[in-house]
Amino acid sequence: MNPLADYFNGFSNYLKLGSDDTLADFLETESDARFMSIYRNGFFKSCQSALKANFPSVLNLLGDEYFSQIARVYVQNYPPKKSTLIGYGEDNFTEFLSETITDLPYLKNFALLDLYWLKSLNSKESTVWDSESVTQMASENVDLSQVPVSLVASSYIVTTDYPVLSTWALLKQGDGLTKHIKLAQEEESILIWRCSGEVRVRVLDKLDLVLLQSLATGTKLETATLNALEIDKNFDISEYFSELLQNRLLTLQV
Amino acid sequence: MNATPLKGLAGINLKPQHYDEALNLTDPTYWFEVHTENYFVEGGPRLDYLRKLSQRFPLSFHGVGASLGNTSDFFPEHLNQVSQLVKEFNPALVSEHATWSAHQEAYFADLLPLPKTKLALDQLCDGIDRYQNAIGRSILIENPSNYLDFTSELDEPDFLMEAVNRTGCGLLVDVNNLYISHRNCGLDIINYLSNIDAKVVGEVHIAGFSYDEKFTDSLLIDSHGAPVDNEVWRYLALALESFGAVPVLLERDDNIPSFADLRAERDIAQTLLNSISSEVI
Repeated sequence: MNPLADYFNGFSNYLKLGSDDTLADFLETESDARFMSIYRNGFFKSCQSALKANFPSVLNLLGDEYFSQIARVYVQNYPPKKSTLIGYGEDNFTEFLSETITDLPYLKNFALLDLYWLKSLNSKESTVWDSESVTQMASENVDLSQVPVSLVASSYIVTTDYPVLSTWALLKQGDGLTKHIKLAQEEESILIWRCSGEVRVRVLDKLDLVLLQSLATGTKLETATLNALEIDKNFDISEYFSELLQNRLLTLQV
Repeated sequence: MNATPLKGLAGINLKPQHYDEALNLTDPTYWFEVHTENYFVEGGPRLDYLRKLSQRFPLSFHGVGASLGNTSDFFPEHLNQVSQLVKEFNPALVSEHATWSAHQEAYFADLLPLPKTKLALDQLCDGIDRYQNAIGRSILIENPSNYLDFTSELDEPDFLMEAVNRTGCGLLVDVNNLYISHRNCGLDIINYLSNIDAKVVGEVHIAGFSYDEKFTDSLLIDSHGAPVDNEVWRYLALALESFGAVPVLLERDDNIPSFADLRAERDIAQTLLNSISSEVI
């Protein structure tokens, strides 16, 4: 028998389930046991607030009341497993939404974009291969086409199964929708990355996707270009390369 | 505890919406406290702001998630992250709570009360030791706000002072927590203050509370969502009389007002500190 272990077990059960018979043994007789609810409310409120902060477009789509109800069920089933609420929900909140709210089949895509936006915001810094460095290397007669490069650590290519990006952007800003969402099921690929401290997003066409996917895995510019030429035989890497540099998307592989 | 960093100075706990205004501040008497766990990120603007701020003002890292009284499965990773931040920023103060927040694999995101028993004290001291060893320096631990009384073998000041004596940590005395405990559980604040050794107090917190929706004024909540109450100001003055001009931190985590409003409240604390400092001189 370890009374302290019993205390933590009883308290934890109370927080998760709302009742525990053993907890009364640890309260002074004059204490008002009803006040225990403050701890349970605090636990749920903190976690619900974190989910609201982490999934703003889902919050705006569902409304505060409905989101809070859904979030409460999630918190009860999946309490945080890390000692920070940054990123809480990243494990399975999108799947949970999909299973719980079946009449909005596109909902998980909004959650997915919220999640990757946050991941990008807080991801580690990469040493960006910028125009200055390129100019320097060119002046040293380095063959740029043979330099191994990859995308910066804050970049993510996300494929959704509904074209949600423009609606997501409105919802994330907190703008209300003026009409019901009507989306045909159709894949959309999106690049999310951080540039000068700000997270940016853009829809990718087929050529973008092939090129950026090759770069994401780490490759030479020549190889990425050859992959792109299979999609568009008139593809010109020079203009595209300039755009990648401007958007601070490339990093040299070491 | 040795010399008190930030002695005689009042600070504000910094929220992201005030980053720019804080960076534009020219008053050199300010310092800022942040919740350590909010910087458990690999990169991005949040860390960038903290780096810029640390060039201009002293920082204090105030942890809310270590669960020192009941270390969890993820405590080693937590310590690893705190260590990295402390190493990079070398904050003037590092503090945590004499509470628990996690059990086994679950984190409850709240500062939960420890029973004031010898077993709980052993466990708290173990958590403090591991934390201090991980970051290579001593920390301050904060008294909890109490909503109801749990079985205890020690009074709270004795419990905390014993933790201080065993681990070499210092105390962060939260005056708002004392007032909440006084109102909710009848804690005698004057007696409490007299049982704390002034030499181990490294920081004082003040904040605003709210009333529970259901139990109204019979249950005060440590919400940090309102201005500091007049009674808390009064007890702050008494605390500073006891402890001397230790650094005072204004906490605000909910219903965040303008930076100017926070500065005005913080300046009241600075004025109190100035009066204590001049009395000492």
